[in-house]
Amino acid sequence: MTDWLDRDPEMGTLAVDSYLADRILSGGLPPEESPAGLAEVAVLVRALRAEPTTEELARQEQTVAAIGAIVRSRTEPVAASRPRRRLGTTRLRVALAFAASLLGATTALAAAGELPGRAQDVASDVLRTIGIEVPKSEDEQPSAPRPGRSNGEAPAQSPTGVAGTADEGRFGPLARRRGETETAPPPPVAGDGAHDEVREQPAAGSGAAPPTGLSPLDQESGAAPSTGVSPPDQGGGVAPSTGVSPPDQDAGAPAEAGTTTEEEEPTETGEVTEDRDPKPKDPEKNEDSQGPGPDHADGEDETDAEDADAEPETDAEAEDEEDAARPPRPPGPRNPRAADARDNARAAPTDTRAGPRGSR
Amino acid sequence: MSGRVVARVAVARDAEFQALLRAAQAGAEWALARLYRDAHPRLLRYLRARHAVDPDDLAADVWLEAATKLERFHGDEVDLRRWLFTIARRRLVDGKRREARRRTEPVAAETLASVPAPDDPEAAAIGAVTLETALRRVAALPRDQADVVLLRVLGDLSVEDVAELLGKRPATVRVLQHRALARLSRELSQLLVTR
Repeated sequence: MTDWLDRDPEMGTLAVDSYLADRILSGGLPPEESPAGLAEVAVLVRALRAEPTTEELARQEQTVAAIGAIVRSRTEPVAASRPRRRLGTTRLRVALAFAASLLGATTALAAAGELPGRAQDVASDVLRTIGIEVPKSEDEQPSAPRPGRSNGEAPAQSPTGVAGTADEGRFGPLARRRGETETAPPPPVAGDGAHDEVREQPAAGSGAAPPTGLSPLDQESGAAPSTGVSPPDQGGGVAPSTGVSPPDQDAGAPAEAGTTTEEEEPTETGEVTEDRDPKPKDPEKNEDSQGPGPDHADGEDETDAEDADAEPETDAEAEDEEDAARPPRPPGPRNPRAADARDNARAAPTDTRAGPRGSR
Repeated sequence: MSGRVVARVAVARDAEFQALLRAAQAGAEWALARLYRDAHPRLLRYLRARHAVDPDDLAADVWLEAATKLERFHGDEVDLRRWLFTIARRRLVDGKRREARRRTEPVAAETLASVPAPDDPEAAAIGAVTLETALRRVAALPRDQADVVLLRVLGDLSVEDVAELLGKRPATVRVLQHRALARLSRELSQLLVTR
């Protein structure tokens, strides 16, 4: 290694190994102990390592103050800004959750058709664009007014699972026609036009129960606008057609109003009422009877039976008229139970107390 | 002094430095002042010997940049010096690049007056190697040799540290420092003979 060093003109003849160079440059070799030719270098290195002069430290105060301010500003705001960041994140999450719940609630209300008119229309239009069928408001459905909706009822569910408009399209006009002709029991659709008359009957102060031919939903909308569950003390008196009767009220004629609502069968004649219901499902008889409903005691049922016996031919004639006046049934799934029950009713038109409905 | 004593002194010194560093990272001005008094003169001399246009401003910029990253610094005393000299050299190189792009900018008279002359007769007449004389001698070296000498003397950095900082191999750094020592020896010898 010394060969090329010796030939390097910059190296000259100075023999400096790495150890000696490290000692000189680190200031560990005093000039007096240095080899010849390196003493001056040792002096130079010592001069470079001299103590700081006052000129070199003239800016110490300002520079240290600036450094301290920077260091403190970078340490303190970090701790102070983290909660702020967390708070912002929490607020964002709360806002998102609120927005999501609001959207869900609005969608649910729209699906139930419970939004106000304009809002329901807008929601229907918006949700229809994404493939969700939501009924429009009542204002935009002139063909099927739904008075039951004003009582806070939920929209009826159609057999196909489409609520609102589809139900009214199928049952609404038909049911209204039935209500006018009073020949057939209404379907279990709330707010049918046929029950406007029925709703007025308890309000007349006659103490009569709603007609027995009404479907449970009709009874709810017509005679029991608000309760849904009748108190026990009403068992002996006039039962305003509650949704669910307590057991003590059902001793003679169990009320099936609440039970039928859960079946949601697309019946037209109210066959879904309970088996022990001795009353016919004829609206004509209901108007004539003005008597105790299914929630009444046994004694009152006798009156109802006598009324039924007074006009034994009424059911058959009324059903014939109804069939003649009924528009053609729209295509769709036909309930075999309903058809069977109607056929049975035709076969035994005079016996309303032990009819096929009661023995079913 | 035995090796065990040296090790104990080194450990105690390192513990003292770590306490000083933690205080400085917390913003204690007394700790920052100690770090400043130890490192700032070295930085300033390095920048002056490397012909910085405004060594004082450049050194202040180095400290301000270091202050923004001091909280994340981990290491011992040598690491801190290496870090500071790395910042200083990078800023020095950036400044020289900017100067190179502005070739028409006139040089102030004060700057020309401060440029050391390798054969300063006044210093030779005095016969004493002062700090200014030493800086002028080192500044007269080629740039790489001056860098090696200054970083090894002022920064107390090893050959490996200097090689890493300069982006060169350790063997290259050793060659450079040997040439620098030989050149300084030759020039100083000639100066003494002339005197």
